[in-house]
Amino acid sequence: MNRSVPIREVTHLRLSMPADDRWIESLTWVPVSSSEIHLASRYFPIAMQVEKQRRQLGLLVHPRYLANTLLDASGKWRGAYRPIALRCFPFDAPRMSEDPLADLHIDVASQYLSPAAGAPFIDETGRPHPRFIETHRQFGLLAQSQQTFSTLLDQYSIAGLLTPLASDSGQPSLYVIDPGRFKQLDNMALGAMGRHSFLCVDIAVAWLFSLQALRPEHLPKQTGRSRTQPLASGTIEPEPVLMDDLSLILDDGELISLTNIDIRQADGHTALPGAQDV
Amino acid sequence: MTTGQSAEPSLPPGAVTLQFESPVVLQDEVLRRRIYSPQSYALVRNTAVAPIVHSECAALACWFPLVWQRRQGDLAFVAIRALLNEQRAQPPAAQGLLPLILRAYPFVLDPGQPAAPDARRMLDDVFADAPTDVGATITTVQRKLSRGTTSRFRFLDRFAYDAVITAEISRAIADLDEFEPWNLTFEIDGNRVAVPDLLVIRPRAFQDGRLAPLLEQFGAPCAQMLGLHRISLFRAGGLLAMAKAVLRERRDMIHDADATSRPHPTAQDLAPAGNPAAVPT
Repeated sequence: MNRSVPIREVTHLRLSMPADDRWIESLTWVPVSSSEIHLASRYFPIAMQVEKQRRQLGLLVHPRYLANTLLDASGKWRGAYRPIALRCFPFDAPRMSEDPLADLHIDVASQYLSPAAGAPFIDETGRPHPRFIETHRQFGLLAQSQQTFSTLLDQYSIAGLLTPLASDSGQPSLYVIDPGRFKQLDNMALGAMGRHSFLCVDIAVAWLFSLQALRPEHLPKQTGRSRTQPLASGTIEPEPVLMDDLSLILDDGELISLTNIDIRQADGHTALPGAQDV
Repeated sequence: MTTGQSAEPSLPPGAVTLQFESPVVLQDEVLRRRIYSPQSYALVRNTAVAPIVHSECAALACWFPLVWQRRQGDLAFVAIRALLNEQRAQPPAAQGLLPLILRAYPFVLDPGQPAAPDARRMLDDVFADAPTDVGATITTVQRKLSRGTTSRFRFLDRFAYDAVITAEISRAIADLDEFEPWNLTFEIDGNRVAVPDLLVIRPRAFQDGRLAPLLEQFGAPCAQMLGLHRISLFRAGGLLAMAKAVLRERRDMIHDADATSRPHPTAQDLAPAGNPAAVPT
């Protein structure tokens, strides 16, 4: 059983992270900061986690959810943006004060604690090592952001925009924004969401954008209009088709040599059919 | 963009905003022309700055900054594909990701009219310098549009349709005075690389409710443009990395060429100044 303790109690040990990043695969979801959400939305699907009746906004980081892999064959980070919460691993910060040694917690039996190798928690004067002061600051950012997101998540819930992550077994604890429902919001509702701060609309758009990084089997089932209307205006659904649809295929069946074509008609003037009326 | 510093004759050209070369009316013998895949045309491959519409933001924001450009009084919503007018300066994974207006190429809308569904379709009368296929005629022997033509007309129609709202949203933001200049200028190995006349939305506009009237008026397309514009700005870093790589590769090639064109050094050339005896003979 895990026993999480302040790092003040383990300052005789050191933090020893492995050379590769495979430990990330033990994580499913991590909280996100408002300062990074726009950048992170390019690489990670945004999701709300509900745990012990507490709702938090974060990022899905487990490979089973991600359209693109984070690690290379040797387990090294491939170069996508590295979210704050991953930089804070393997710590937790259940309460925030001014004291990193009290606020940062770690499992006393953690495999990342070593008696000899790794980074010391304190310097020679007994103060927190700068690395862990920075980790503490980053936990502060995450905590402040979750306060901000709390109001937004309420608004999304009221608007019925959130839906359980598809294919998630058991009691749903992860939710994503539903592109179909967002699309059905009328202009007045959108205006109301943005009246006090644009942040509510801003985060919703980033959330929708982030679904491009989610494996298709986890996307919300289509609500409202069919997704087979690619030319509809104003859609912000994930559009993976664009990347596969790039090399325009000319119709081989209609490849006709100019020498074999006599398009000139008897009147000697040919207008393009439909050229003016579309 | 400009690549400043006098310099090497072989510097890549600066970023150019899409400008069609010679649009002609689709009639008579023009209909017998062959068209090739968009990537067959240098203009499609290399153009660094292309106008876009709101409905294509989600795909393009993955790779390119989506901003506004004001040139000669006209305000356009554009994608910055590269900092240099050269395909190699685009992110490799996105070199095939074309904005709608380029997917429709060589068909274009009449540049003399505002982009709108009633704008006349034309053909840019250019040479496909690198055809990737045997091409297809614009019309068949039965005087019907070939599939290659109709599929590109669909892209052109979608662009034309969404260009109207895109332009209205852009004007509305300008009317609120919420644009500010975006100085996309870098010094790379002594070369000044810049994309001029760019505008972004002031950060303050995202802090309060001043954009709410636009959301009420234009709805989801507006939310998409504003939100994805903001997200897309992070992609400038990738473009800078690509421009650096291209310029440095070019510099290295020039150095290599210089080295091979010079006569091989003699033993005397290698001798430290003033001490020829130091070189064994």
